[in-house]
Amino acid sequence: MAKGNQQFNWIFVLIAGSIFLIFFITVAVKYKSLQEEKTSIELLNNLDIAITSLQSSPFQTTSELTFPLETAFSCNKKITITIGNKQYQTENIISAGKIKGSAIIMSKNINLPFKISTVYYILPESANYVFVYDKDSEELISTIKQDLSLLKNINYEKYPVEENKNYQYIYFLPIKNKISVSKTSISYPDKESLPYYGSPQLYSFIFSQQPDCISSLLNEKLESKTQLYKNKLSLLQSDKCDYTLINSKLQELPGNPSIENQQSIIEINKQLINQNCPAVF
Amino acid sequence: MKKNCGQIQNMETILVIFIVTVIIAIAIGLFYNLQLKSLDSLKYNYQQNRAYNLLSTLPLSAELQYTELNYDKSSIDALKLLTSSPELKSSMKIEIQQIYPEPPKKVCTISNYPDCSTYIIYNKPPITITSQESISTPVSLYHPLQGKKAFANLIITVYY
Repeated sequence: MAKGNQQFNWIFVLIAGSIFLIFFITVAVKYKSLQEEKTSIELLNNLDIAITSLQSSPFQTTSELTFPLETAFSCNKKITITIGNKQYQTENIISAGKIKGSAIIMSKNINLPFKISTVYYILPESANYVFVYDKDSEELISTIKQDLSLLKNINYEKYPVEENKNYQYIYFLPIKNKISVSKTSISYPDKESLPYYGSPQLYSFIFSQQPDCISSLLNEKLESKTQLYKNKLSLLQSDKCDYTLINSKLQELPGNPSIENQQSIIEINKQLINQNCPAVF
Repeated sequence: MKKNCGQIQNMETILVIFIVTVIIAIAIGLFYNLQLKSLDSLKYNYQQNRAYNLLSTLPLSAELQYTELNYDKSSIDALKLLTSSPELKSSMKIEIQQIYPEPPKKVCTISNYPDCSTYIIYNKPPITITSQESISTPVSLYHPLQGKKAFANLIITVYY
């Protein structure tokens, strides 16, 4: 009987112990995921605040943010932000892959020729870029230098350079098998080259890991904003003010947002304002 | 039949350990529930902050902002309100109510513009609304056809 009792005790201890063990392991796993979710919401909140302060600022400025968890930005028709193992949808954020620790956020308006979006570039403090230029690209580089003067992790060097594996090199001269920027396009060693129509669009491609996806998102935005202005034109059209010319130019814009096309749209808009007609943009 | 002293002590120890573990399990369960509640309140605060942030950034968005030669005129373009909607995913309602000059109290459409007061630019309520909260800020509304500015209220209603 005593032996039977002892056996029962051991069976009871084993079953109860296993149940408690499973319970504590489950709680620990759930608690970890809960803490991760809490941190990610706090991070999203801080990111939102940083973006708001950048957009509301009348001056060109940057903001600093610490990412306590590994945060990945990816683009697949939409931009998603993955914090830990939670995914959230976001918009207009350009970043070079994964970030952990301190990062700098900067914003720019993309005007083609009217504002189509405000984009936010998030650069990890540890990321180092070297913009390599030659005599022909000095003018473009001086504009970029001025534009990105608040970013301390961008270095400018004159060609030729000796590459260091801790730096990412962007060449502002024609060079094969490297990321190479010309006055109108950016080419990649393993991807198709992408045209760009303004510095902010170029920075979006440089600072993103998926420039082709960013390019198609910006094209979608251009299409939707062009439609918005075309709709506005239909309401502005009157006997006194003729918007047919700018309307036809806007029709062409999404397919060909070249600098010339943008300039002609700006000129027509100016002429309309000079004729005392309401401005399109 | 009688249990010896050692057996009784053994059983008592098991019982004490069992009861202590149950108490610890209950305490952990309660703590976890509290953490879940604090996560809910964090989510609620996040939604609220997003709405406040939106209140200050929305007038600067390409979908609403009135510009002349790309310069911000610190106003919302009334014509854009009739033809566009901001790209959002949240469950909320965004409307602009003109206050002065006071127009007839109607929801604005292309056909009754400008004799209307309310522009509903985004409305996506959830299937079931447990609670809602409205926040607002004064904005300047520009009517390009009339070349006149009006005083309006930008109202964001967040659904929970």
